[in-house]
Amino acid sequence: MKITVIIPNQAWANTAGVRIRYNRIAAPLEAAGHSFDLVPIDSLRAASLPKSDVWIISKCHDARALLLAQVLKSRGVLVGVDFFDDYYSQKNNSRFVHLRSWFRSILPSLDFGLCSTPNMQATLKQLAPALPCHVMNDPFAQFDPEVIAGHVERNALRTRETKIVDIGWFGIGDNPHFTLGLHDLSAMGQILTRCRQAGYTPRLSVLTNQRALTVERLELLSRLSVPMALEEWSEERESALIAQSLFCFLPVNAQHFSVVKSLNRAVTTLSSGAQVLSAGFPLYAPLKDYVYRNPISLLRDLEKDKLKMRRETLAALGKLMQSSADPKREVEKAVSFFKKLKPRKATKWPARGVAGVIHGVRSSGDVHKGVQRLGHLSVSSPASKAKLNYDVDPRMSKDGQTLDIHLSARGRDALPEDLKTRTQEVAKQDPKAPQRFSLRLTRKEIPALPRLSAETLPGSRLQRLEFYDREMDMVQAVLSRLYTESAMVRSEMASPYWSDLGVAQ
Amino acid sequence: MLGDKTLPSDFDPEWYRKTYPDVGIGSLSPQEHFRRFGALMGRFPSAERMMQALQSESAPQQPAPAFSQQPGGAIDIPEVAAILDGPIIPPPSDIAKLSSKFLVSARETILLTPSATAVLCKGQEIARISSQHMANPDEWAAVTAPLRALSNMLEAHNAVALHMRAGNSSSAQPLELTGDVGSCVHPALQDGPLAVCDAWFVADSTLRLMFGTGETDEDRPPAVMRAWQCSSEKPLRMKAVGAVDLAGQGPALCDLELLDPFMPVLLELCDQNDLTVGMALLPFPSLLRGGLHGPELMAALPAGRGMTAFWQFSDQLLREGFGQDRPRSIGALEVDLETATGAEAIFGADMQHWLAAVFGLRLSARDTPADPDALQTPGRTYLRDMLASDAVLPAYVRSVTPKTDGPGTTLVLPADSIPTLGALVSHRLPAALPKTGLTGPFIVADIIGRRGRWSVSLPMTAGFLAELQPRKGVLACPILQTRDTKASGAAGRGDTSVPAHLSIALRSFGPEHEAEQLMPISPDGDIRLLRAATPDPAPLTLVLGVSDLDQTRRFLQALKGQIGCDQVDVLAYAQKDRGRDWHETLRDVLTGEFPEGRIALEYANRGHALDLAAAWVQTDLVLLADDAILLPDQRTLSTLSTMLAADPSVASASCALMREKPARKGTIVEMATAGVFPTHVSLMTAPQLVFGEPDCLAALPMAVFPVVANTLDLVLIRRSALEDGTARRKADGIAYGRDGAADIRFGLDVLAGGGQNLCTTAVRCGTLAPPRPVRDEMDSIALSFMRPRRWDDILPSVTLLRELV
Repeated sequence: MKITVIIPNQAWANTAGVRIRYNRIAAPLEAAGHSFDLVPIDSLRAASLPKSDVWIISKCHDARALLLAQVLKSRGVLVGVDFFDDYYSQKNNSRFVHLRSWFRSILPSLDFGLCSTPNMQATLKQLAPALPCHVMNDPFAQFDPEVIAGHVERNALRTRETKIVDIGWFGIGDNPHFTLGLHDLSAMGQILTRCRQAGYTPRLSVLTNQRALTVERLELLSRLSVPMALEEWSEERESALIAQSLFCFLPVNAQHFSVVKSLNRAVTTLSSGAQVLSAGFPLYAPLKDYVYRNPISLLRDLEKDKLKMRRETLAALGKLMQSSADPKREVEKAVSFFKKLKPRKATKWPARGVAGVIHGVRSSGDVHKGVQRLGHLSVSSPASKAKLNYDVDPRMSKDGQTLDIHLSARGRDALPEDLKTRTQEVAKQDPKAPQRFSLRLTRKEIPALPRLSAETLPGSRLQRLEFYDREMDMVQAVLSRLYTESAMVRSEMASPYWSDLGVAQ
Repeated sequence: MLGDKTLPSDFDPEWYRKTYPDVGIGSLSPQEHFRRFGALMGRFPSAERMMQALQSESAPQQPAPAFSQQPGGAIDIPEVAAILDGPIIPPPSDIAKLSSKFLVSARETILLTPSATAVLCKGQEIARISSQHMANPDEWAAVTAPLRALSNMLEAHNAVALHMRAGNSSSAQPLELTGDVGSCVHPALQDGPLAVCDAWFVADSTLRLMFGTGETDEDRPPAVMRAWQCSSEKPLRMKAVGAVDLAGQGPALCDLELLDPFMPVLLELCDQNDLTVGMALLPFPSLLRGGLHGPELMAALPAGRGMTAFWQFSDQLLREGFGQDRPRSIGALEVDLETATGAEAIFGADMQHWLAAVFGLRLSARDTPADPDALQTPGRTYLRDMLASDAVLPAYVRSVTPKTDGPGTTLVLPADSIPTLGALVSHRLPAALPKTGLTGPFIVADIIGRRGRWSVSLPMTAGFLAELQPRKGVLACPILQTRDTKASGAAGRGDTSVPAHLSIALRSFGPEHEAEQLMPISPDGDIRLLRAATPDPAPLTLVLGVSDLDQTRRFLQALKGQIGCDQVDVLAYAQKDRGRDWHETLRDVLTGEFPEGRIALEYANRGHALDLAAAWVQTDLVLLADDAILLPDQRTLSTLSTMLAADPSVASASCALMREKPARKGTIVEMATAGVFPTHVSLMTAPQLVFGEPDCLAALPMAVFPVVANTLDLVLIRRSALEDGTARRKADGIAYGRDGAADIRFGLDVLAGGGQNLCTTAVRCGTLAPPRPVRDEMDSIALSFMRPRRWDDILPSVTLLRELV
């Protein structure tokens, strides 16, 4: 079986998400006789799509993924999305309009969904009941009982002798849309003061990303009731921090975005040699035999030399890890899941007419190029401001009575003959520039064209917001007139209601 | 005995000054600095002493090592000397030392004076009272008043269980503390050289006390202050949480490592013989700056009064809450789980334990999702179960069961809020409540800085207001509900008043996310925004202010999409005559969009349009609008209709208007208006109310609230209110058209007729109109509507906003 994971770009291959989730299964997959590839979406061409039995789209929340999923579905291969995070269930949140739209658009093309936790699986079941969904746990990197036992014993001995408890907190400290990370540490960090009741002095070390260190979050950290040191996160520092901490504090809030997260932080902590103290939502309940909820219990166990994770319990922990986070086992389960799925029959797509993308307020040049590489049309709208070599570029006259449409060769070739003959080649100022054509239509030729006079109004953000739907409807009406049938998707990289709506940059 | 104030023999002034840079800032010599502060902060007197400490395993604090890993090898945990790159924030070693030094467990002196009497709490000696104090009833009352207050506060749990033991006796007798709740602070700790002159939270549970104002060079007499606290987990025991030697001059600081940021703290001041001079109870330490209830004190009393305000407010709360036999008003507490994350302060274990220990209240979940199709998320289930579960609660909290019926009132809190102390202690909250509940006043505070920003008083006169709040998002305000269904009755105008803020909403005060600034509730979800049912569309008359034909065309197209029918009567008015052609074009535009309706064109100002409309309109609903209005949200008209249909007393409904203005290379969106509020009183002539349009989005980001008046730029009005208003104007001889503030005059006419003007921030519109000057309106010649005798009618019916910063 050949499995291909589509990622946004080559740089993405170096992120922690890819490292933890895909790189760790690559070797077991190949050892089991399968092949595995990570392919940036921006490297795909219609004419040379690699052959693969299973395609997994990962973190590509843009219109390219929507078109690619359609193309792959039409070729009769299995297509799925690896749902890392839940940006789809917050129905009242204006920030994620574009992501919910993306989810609704890609769903019909999917054969399966992947996710990393049962909670995310349950969410997908509610949002897409018919979509088969498989939980692939984040695999651990290594589990060396001897190394773990060494760290545990050394930290326990030092803590008992000095009465100073070294506590670690690591991870991304912020999220642009949700309060979590350092906010959770601040909200639930009070529990760490209980170490004092047990006669120990807590000492916290925090590793986090620099972006998270805003003035507000630094103030939150300064309010923590335990002494704290702060350093910027790196993979090496994280390993060292866990190895020298008696326990790592992993608070989890109960908002839906957080409760569908993977067990990754607890797995990393345990397999790197520190105990886990969790607070808030019991995300790490599957590992509950090795997770503390109260520091006093932990310190009592320390004094009795009966910590939950110790040399004698590592064998059982190892088995638990194997059942829930062993890369080899995760590969076996995933392959078994894929084998049970039946690819849909190959069909031509689009069945008739053309397909492509209508660029909205927040589209991008990458999407434009990616769509053209996939052999489909890149269409501008009044909302799109980027000056790109669109395949279809309709421009309303000031009085709203005529429409001048600029076309690329691909856009012109797809026209029916009667319209193709009406096009005129646009004189090129730059001989190297691609061939362009123009076509003029009148309002009478497009009965469905909304009454629109956007050109006569100043382009304020608030006006653009009011006009958004009408502008998009106008483009759809134009495309319907030009190509009779068209399968188009909107390209928005952010909520259309977010940020400057195409006004002065 | 008191601490030794002499310098250590190995004190190295030069090393001390270089090691602790703050020493050089003031005028104190290194020696004096060490005597006053350094020793208390646990600083080292010399390099040798520091090296000894660092080499010792029991060193109080060492700099945290930087972490590194040998390439390809095992993790290397470096020694201190191997630190290559320092942490962004090194561990605050001084605080760690301060804690260990100050956490004295007990008195170290032995009771030598046979005539003195020790006061004991579970064997812990928390006071030592001289025979002179005991012999004088007034002195005895003053010294023990804080103990009496503490005993009253925790009476339900017999928590303090105080005993006294005479110096010449080996057995202890119960300490009887009877009488009224007196002052919670002894004069010695309130005034004079040993007074607590400031107190604030430097960390979540670290309370810093400051003694000595520094205004006098006079030495303080030898004295020691000790502090104790009951933990909320074990309220039957008092533990020492700090002590400080106060002898000397200048400021003296003491950090108390509290067991709990909410439970009362007892301070004891002792003289050089270790006999109690006076005591003080911080009954609600969270009222202090940096505490979660700090904004409540800030809102209740004027700033700049320091500890005086704190003691005064504490005494008031004690008297109200614990000085009376009758039960307090709030009998149950519920938290609305909508948008709750569990990381909010209300869900903290400390908060829940404290509510049970001091007020006998147990928080429960109000989990009735406004949207029945909403996901039943594991997080929501967890929060509901957590509040219902006894597993993690101390035994005494488990014994406090949530009360679901019976006398008393339930306070329903938004998830981002905590109850105020004023609400918890009050005996004066209204008992007669409508079934839907009453919205109440609250404080909005900055969750980061813990400073109060807004005081918001929603009127208690509108029972339907609770049902008009948005279905999604955090509950807009606290709600009082009756638990006794038999006693339930609708509260009418003037029936109820709430003497205190009910809750403190802790919110982030960063800029609103732009997507939410324009649409606080997502446009791709349900069409229905408010809890109340949306009425069926009703015939409508549009009274349209026209300034530009293109704008008019655009506005009509946008509005038509929301009305959904062609039969709309339109009364269009323009400020000035633009000629016949313009007039005809306008008529074409209007009939083009609404061919089935009546059309009329007039030349009038906005106030005059009100007068014209009253005579012309035939439908029950009238939409006054300006063609500069932008309608980006398709739910605007249906939301305003829902507000108007909620109760016959609602005469007008409008929403927040947003305006765009240039900023740097682009533009920003800001609020133009969300209704007219009373802002202050002018004493320029006779006392008069002044009205303005404050930016209330931070205070009421997603709510429906009564205002004095709505903007006439966009407002949905009942025809009957319009007719009543114009009749009033005729009677007064002043038509709306002759008034520069027709919107306020109309709004006040509505109020005078017993009606309400509602505004909402749950849906927002835009305006292209140029910014108007900041409004500061009053009837300077007192013609009719803003006379002082009318204040009683106006103020209880509208939302009162006060900016606290």
